Amino acid sequence: MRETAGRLNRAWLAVIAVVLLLAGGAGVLLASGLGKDLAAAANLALVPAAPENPVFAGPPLDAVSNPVGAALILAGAALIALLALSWLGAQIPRRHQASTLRLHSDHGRDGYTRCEPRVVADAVAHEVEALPGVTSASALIRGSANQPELNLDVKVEDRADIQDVISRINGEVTANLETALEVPLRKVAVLFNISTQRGNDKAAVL
Amino acid sequence: MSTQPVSQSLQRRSSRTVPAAATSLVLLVLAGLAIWGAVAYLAGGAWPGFIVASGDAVRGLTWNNPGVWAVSVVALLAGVFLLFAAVLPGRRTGAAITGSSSTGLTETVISRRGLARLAAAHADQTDGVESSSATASGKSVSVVVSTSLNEPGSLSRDIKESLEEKFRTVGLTPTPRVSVRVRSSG
Repeated sequence: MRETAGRLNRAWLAVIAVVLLLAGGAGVLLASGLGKDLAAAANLALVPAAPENPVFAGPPLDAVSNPVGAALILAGAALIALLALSWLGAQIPRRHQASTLRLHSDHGRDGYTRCEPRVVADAVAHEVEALPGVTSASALIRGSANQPELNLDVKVEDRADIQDVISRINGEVTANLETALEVPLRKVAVLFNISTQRGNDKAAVL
Repeated sequence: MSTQPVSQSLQRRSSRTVPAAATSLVLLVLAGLAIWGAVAYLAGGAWPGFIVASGDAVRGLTWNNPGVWAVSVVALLAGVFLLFAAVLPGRRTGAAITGSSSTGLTETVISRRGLARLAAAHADQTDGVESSSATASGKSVSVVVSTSLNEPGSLSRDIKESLEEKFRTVGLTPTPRVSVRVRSSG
């Protein structure tokens, strides 16, 4: 039910991949001398370095061994560190639960009615857990009071009639929730998992 | 008001969390070392020892030095790996279930682990099966069963057909491909 940063990850991985491919490709072309041959064949004004040329014209630290250079390195590194930390933090799956549901109409002319989504979600989860074959359930409300979305995590026994559970969720549970919120649900998402436990079966010893 | 749902699809592709976390950690470490060096220079007027040593090590390197070759090839390979991770879709997180009361607003999915457990539990009920285990992707299920029968005969085919029927009954769309391997312990 928790959501991950799939799009963000793929976008940044692609950007970093392109940078690495360009740097690595340039290194291989210069180290092998192919870069010089290709530039000569293409009649380019730019003349790449020969393989026997040094990578750095002078001591590499000399160019940045001054306050301005060090400050620029500090600023650049701090920016990269913040972006990397933010990216790392985005890996934590998020619930993206709705904020407090404002159920009042007419801008609260007759009073304000607020409800925490957790309250509604718990009620839905209890109702789903009472269905035949369901061993446990959890619910999450996303969106807003006017455009609510229901996300359900349902664990059923391996012998459960999944189609029956789906039918009851769509027919009874969502209908009750829509009645309580007085608006239709924008989306209902149900994730099934199979439990290794048995549900509410009680054994009778005769 | 937006008509697009805010929730992600339950049946999404791999989010590449592991390569993303690893890459961000590498960037964080490198940036941390650069910050350390820059602060040391600004505060004390000299770079830290490890940066001076690195600078001395790369001074005089030529392009055809084996070290430069190695770094370039590693960068190329890392770039290819990350590009594949970014572009290839990866495995889906679950398999879609279509119900008779499904609407366009309803999404019903069974997780890969749930699908595997369902297959293993169903195969366990077959006569002659001692134990079973299963793995599942969004599109296929592989089941391995152990039997004490000396000649399993048509056990593999029977389990395969039974599972395919079970998946049709559950409403999996499309029905996953089923492969069954029988290990005889007799």
